[in-house]
Amino acid sequence: MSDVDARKKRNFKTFSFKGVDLKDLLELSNEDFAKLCHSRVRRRFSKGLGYKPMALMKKLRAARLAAEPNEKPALVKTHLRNMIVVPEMIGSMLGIYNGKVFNTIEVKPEMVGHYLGEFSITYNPVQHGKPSSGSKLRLY
Amino acid sequence: MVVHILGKAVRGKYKINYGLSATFYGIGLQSATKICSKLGFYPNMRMHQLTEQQTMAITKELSEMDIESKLLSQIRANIQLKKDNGSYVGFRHALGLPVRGQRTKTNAKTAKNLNKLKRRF
Repeated sequence: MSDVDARKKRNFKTFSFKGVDLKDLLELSNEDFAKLCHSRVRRRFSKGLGYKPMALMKKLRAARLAAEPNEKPALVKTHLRNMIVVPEMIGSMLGIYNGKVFNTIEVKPEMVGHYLGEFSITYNPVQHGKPSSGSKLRLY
Repeated sequence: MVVHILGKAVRGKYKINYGLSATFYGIGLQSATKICSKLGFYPNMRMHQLTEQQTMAITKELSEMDIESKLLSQIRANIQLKKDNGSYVGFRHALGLPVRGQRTKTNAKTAKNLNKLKRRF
């Protein structure tokens, strides 16, 4: 048993985004965070996000406040597939629309800097020789 | 003449930078040339001209770098991480399809051969 523990310890990696630790990352403002990201994200932030993401962030904050300690916050549904995952979202529960249903994800630190749409696939993978499951979306 | 570095045989007639880059995964001409200039080999020096000491020096340099199986396992870990996140990139790797929006109606042979969660190289 101790052997397994030791192996787990060795494999344990501390998360950092472009050399910034998770703790520092959470304290960054959106502008400072954008500077860390790749150019597509930087450009998006420099153009301004608009009012729609702000509404989402407001809902997320409210959900986080309403959640009991040590429990996951309530699901927030959204259509904003082109929204960038900012550090503030980490730990939130999101329902991301894929054109048909809301796929539930929990935002992990590794998702930071990606688009929400990357985590909610819009099509059924083709399966040859099997009857398609139709309405049910089969994720790997 | 064959020179052995880190358990790998390198042809003696090769120039040192070329021999290193051709033998080790993760070392290209650029980083191989950098190692050579760091250890003070003249540019056209051949593998068979290396002394025992110089071979040891190269071995020491290489063992500090991320090459071969170390590098491969890093790349595989990166792919696995993307899959564990539930991201689209990881999903495409799991399917064995192109990751960056290429067409799949035809072609896509490289991706179909190589893109795996446990990628072969």
